[in-house]
Amino acid sequence: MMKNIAQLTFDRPFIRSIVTTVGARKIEFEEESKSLGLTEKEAKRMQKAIGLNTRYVALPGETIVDYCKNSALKLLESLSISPLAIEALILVTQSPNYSAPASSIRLQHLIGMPTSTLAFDMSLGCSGFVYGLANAYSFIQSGLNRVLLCVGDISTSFVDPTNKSLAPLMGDAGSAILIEASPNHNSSYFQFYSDGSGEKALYIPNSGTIKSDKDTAELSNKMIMDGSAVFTFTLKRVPSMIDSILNYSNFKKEDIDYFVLHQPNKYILSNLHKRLDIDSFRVPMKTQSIYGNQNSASIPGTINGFLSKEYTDKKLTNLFAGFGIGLSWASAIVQTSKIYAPNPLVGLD
Amino acid sequence: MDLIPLLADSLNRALESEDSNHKYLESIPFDFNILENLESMSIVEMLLDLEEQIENKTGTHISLADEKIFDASMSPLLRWKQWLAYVDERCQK
Repeated sequence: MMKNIAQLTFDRPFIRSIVTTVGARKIEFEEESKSLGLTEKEAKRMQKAIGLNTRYVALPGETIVDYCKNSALKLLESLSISPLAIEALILVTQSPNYSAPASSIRLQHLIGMPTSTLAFDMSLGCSGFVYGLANAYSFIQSGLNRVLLCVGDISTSFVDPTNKSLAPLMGDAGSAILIEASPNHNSSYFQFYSDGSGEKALYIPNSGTIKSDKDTAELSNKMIMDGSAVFTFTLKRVPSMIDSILNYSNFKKEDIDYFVLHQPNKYILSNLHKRLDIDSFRVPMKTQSIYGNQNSASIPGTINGFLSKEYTDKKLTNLFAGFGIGLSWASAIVQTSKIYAPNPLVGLD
Repeated sequence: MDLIPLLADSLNRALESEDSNHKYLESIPFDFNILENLESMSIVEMLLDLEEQIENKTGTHISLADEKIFDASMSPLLRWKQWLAYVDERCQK
């Protein structure tokens, strides 16, 4: 039987603005490596392979709702748009305020959106921006006029600060993305993939219903990563996903201004960039080194962090690709035209 | 280009970075299992090191990592002999 591919095309929605707030606390890896008990050699090895330099994390007690609210209010204020003029709010996060109710509903209230707002959470990590964007685009395509997409995590809440291989990688960030209906034809393309056989490549044990799993009974509710499995998954799935979305959209590699990929680490991104065989400036790679791995906020975080001027000044054709925990991966080709995309806000106002 | 000294040096450096008492292996047994003897981070470090050295020698970047590199049954790192053949094949391409 032929395998169906989950793919979507839209012609009505467009991204009007992207704003990201990163954690207020800047951690230098050189200092952190000492407190984690890493030897000088181990620290250098991690720095070289992963590209660790600094990361920005939230202050104690701050939540993803705070970060997304901060980004959303800045976005709305800058564009002079009333929260009452938005019809839907999607929050993509793995660090909600509570397991129930959905944090998007609290966020709707805090932003000042009306009670007629459609609001829900999506529990996805590194692929979450593309999934969230596709949902937002679907609503616009179906008739809504404005959707606010919020993505990100306070990953320091689910990563053990003493975990030498995971803690130094993670950054906290929350992004707000405004999607609107365009009067002009504006084609965009999405494809999606999932593989639950890799559930434990990256997961948080004892964080849901399963508590008595033999493998996890002794573990805390902090994230665990099988680095080799994630590495293998990425190199196996991402290049073919990029080829596939290019084929589906009939775009060529040369047509894409920026390949904005999820930012796991320097070695993986550099490997993917070499495989794509394109100019390095078209595959931004610095986010992890400066801000840390921002999970679902890594793609908008990269745009705000390193491509602010380009997105503000130009019309661009972009390939977005998110991949990671789940295992889940997704890609999109989206055109943007002079959007409001300021440099990241550091900490809450 | 004689790859064997490059590969032997990069392996020895990776082994040394895990164990400072490591004694340089002049002759590496054909069945030496790199995957079993190095942590994943050291393997990534070794790949980076080797890619850099090959690029310095040849002027061409060759990606050595692929989806099989950490595969317990198919990795070219399972045997030293296999690793030599794998890198050689990549360079020929």
